[in-house]
Amino acid sequence: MSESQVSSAESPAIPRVPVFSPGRIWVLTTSTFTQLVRMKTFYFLIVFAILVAGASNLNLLYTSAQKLRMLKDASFGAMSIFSWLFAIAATAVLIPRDLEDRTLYTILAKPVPRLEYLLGKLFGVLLTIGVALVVMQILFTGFLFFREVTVLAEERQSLEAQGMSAEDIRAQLELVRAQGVQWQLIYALIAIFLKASVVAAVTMLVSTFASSTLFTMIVATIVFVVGHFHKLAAGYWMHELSGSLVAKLVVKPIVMIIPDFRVFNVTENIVGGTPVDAGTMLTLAGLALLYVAVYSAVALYLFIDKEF
Amino acid sequence: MKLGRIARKTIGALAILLVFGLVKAPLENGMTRRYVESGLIAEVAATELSSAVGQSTMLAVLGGLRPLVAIYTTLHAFDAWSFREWDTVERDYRLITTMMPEDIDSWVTGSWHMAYNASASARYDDPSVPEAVAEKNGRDWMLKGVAFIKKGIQQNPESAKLHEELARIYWKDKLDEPCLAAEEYQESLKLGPTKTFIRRFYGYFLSKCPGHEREAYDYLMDLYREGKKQRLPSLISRIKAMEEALKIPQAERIPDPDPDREIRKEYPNAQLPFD
Amino acid sequence: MSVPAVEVRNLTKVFPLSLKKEYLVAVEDLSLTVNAGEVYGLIGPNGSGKSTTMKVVLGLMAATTGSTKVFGIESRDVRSRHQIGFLPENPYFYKHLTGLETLKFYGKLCGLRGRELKDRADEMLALVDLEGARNRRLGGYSKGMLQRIGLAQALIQRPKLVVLDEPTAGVDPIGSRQIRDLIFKLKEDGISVFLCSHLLEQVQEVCDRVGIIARGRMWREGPLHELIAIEDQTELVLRDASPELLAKIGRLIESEGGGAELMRSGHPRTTLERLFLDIVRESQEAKVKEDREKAAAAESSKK
Repeated sequence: MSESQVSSAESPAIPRVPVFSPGRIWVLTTSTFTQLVRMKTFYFLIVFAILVAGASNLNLLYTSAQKLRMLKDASFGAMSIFSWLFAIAATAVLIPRDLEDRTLYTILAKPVPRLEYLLGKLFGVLLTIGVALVVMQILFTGFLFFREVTVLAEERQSLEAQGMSAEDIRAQLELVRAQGVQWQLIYALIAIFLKASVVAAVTMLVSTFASSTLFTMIVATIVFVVGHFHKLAAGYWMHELSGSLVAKLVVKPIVMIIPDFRVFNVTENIVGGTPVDAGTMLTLAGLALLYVAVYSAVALYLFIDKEF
Repeated sequence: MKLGRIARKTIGALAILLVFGLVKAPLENGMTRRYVESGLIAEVAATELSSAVGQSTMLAVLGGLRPLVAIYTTLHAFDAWSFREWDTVERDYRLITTMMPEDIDSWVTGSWHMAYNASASARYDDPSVPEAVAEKNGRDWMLKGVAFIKKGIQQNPESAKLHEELARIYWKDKLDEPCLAAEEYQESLKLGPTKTFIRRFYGYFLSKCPGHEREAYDYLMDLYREGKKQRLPSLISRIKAMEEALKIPQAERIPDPDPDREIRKEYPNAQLPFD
Repeated sequence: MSVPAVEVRNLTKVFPLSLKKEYLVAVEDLSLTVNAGEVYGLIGPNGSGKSTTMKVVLGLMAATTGSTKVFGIESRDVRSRHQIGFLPENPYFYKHLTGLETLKFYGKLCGLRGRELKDRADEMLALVDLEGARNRRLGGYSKGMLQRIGLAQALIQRPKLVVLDEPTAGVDPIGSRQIRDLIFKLKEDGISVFLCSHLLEQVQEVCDRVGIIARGRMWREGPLHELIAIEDQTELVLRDASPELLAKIGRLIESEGGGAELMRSGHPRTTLERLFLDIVRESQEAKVKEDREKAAAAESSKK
């Protein structure tokens, strides 16, 4: 066994595998990112650019502020849709695909704890969404900036023609500017990202017990849809069925288990100009993080002794 | 009985989620309440909305695509406007404002369509309609516009702009409600950043509200004394008219010539903008 | 004595079937040992429990009862994987990665970084003769190339044990020969190899020890030469023997007496193959017998 001893002298005697390694998660994250990028997902950005260009050239009879508001609404609407669809579809596809291709075997046969595998996949999806959102934000801000400049010039001209006092003009232009490029729009972007993170975590949880990709997508979509109105609907049901067994045993648990996505709808009003402070965003981020942590933990609970 | 792995795991996972749900619910409900209070989340009137739109639209609205549905509806209303389908325009703006009650511009645009465009169209577009009927229809549209913007005011009690717009509808040609217009301008002044023209308008319409002439004259004179930037032809003309009406002693009258004197001489019956 | 590379002790793996209360016993009370530095071949027909055993060793599945250890570390423990390089049957890696990127990805998962990783990846590409295809995406690789990059991937962190599941399935004879040569090379380097196959010729060529598994049970295990040698039999292999000559030999044996008899004559088969087929037959006969007994028991309990 002399050769064997030579080889064991090369590799360390005690396997050097830390229980939790951010480095390994990062390797899986970047590999998932590469995988998604090479699946040509970023073509969506071209569609987005065309859409924003179109929206910024719509000249209906609107006030100047409305023109800017419409461009913002359309762009953030598109960004939201992209982020949810992507969070559901990409997350639902990734793990079953690894299993089908047996890539999962080769990864788990390396010293990779299953938690790290799950987190790597999740973070990969989130990294892709994050990068796409940032690119879209930059594109959109460019369009909005040019739109703002033209709209302001038009507005000033028309106000001056009406003979308004300089003071009044300044106040009016300030109202228009409030709908233009504002730092606060970054908070709207963050809110979109936070919501997408929760959606992706839900989808990953579903995919650890789902039997097919299609099933994962359907269940995740249902959770997503129900998560937007179950609090409203529950109020109605509980009122109608107050005290009944159905209400206690079915409705209440469902409302408890499914996340309430309404909180993340702050995007709409932040875009509309409602002021928001960093503290509010921090609590929102905290809530999203809590969701991601708990759903990942449950996903791990289901995945840890899953057999392939 | 021994449970299978899958059954055991399912129960375990559901239990964890339930406990988490119980723990986070108060936290989440508190956040939702605070966000609604600070205007970060719109409280969409679900029952009202669901009767106005289909299920899928309802989902889009609740799912965070409210602004997109509003854009679509605005485009739809624009289309209806170009075909003078006023009922459609009205329905669309009711939907838009139900979805985005915080969007002041939609309240303004909606009321403008009703009180101005639809009203004028009802009055003049169809020559076959008897004049009295056309008049009545036109007035009805105006009143619809008034009711619409009042609803907007109810939902946005902080908005100076909505009061300003309502005042404008009140003094518009046939509605002719100077007292109500003055009242709305006053409300607008209480709420908004003070726009100098609104102060003048308040004075003008107050002066036309029976019983408030003296009060209005004093207000307008205060404006006059503020100096040159307030002494626009409309203010001077209005003060001149009030001096006549209130029989102000010659010595107290303002020295400026009446900018509209030539017009009045030539057309004694002409109605000038703020008469 | 050094720690064995793989130690499977009384492994039983039961799968529940559907929602009914039925179970499939995939592996039953199986024990085997792969000593450090040896090449061990686990052979058996399809569905015999080979892959299940392998997956339990790799920690992809949990044992129902019994234990598996890799270099003394329980398979459940993620650290045991540090010493394992695994090549699954028909491996498909990420198609969007090139050969080099694939090796770097797996290397990084094992904690290799920087210069060390690059050198090791180059070395592995050279070993499996894929230097020319290093920058090509795996989507464009042939089956044999995939198998080789799979082997390179398995070896990236210098594991002391390599687990190969049907390493030559679907690979053409030349590719198959390359893989065989690589296994020899691993053996020279003192790396233990645990391979599963139903391609007996290959197993016979490379393995030090063989286990034959059928219906979840180990039927024979031992050094290859011991398994296939039958002590009380002697084989004569003739070339161009005429029927007359064979008849003559037969008569000679008969006339000689003393208990010797001619067992059979015909064209020789690979001896392992013969053993394998015998065992499969044996296991099937055992099953028929068991089933009959079960049916009889059921019958009698009904009465």
